[in-house]
Amino acid sequence: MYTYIVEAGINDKKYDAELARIESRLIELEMSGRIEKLTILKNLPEAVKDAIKNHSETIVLIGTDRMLNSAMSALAETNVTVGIIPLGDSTLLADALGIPYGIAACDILSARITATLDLGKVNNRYFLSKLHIPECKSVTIDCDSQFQVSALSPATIDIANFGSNGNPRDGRLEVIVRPHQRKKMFGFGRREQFSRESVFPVKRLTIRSGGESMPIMSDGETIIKTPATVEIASKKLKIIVGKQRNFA
Amino acid sequence: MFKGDTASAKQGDTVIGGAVKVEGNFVGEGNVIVEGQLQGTLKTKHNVTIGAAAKVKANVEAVDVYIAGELVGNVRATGKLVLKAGAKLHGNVETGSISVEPGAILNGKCTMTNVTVSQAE
Repeated sequence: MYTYIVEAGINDKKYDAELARIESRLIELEMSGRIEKLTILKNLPEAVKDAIKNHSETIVLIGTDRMLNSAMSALAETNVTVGIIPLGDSTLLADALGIPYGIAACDILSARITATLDLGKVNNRYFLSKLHIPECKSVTIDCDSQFQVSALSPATIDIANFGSNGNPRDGRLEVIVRPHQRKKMFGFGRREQFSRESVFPVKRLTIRSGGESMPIMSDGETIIKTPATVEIASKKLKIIVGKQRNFA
Repeated sequence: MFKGDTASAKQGDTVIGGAVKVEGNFVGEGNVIVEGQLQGTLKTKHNVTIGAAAKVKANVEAVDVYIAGELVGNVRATGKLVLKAGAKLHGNVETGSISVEPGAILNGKCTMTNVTVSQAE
């Protein structure tokens, strides 16, 4: 049985026509199911919980990357298969999973090629794509309890599981340290430039910032502050993917 | 790496950039490119490249080891060791094959592995 969960932002009138076309296509493909629209009164974890209570074997998320990422904690501890119909303004993760935008995604769901992906875990919260720490003046990263990485200059840090960096099936997270350098341009002003980034594939890391705590962000929202321990949760998410996905 | 100092890294490779310092026992599975500072030990099942600006104080074990910068420590390269012009290696070497460019410095004992000595008649 399928449950379709529609992101709150997609309940806008401009998506009505596309949603109607998607519903029709799902009926044609004999994949119709229960449709849950998220509202202020019904959030994503509750909708996922209800779907599981109603014995849904496949939960399809209709919306943006933000919805996909925020569903991870609710979905990671379940055995359901996750599908995506990308709709809205930011759907890069769906792209990387090989799933086309809008109604075309219905055929990918129907083909049902599944992959089991790793997730990142910070405290008890899971993420699919990456965590971001904005400019840190002083930061030390303890990697796999074997070696320590210290940034010698202010840096931004990404901890990536999937996206432009990171393969979600390699059992590792990629820690990317981007030094922040300010260089004068012809004496007229300053422009921020990044020198070469450092990349460390690791399974578990602890981030400490010297002095005050730094925010650790996911999808533009602070979810925790340093110090924090981040680890890989291998093969945690069964998800429907397209042939055009960007990982093996 | 050695010309423009910009080795290209593949997914799974480790890059220690110029603005970080790594301390401890680094055990990698992919290629390792060092352009910054490293202290401790460095082991990988693939290759190690030490860039011209890198400063490494570590024993290094890898298949092929390419050095353009400074390394204080012993090197065990099961494949080959390449010392580029300007490289400084202070330590003992054990390798299957070695290439030393003019201008490179090697201070230490060099042992070639897998070598059979022909008997003099």
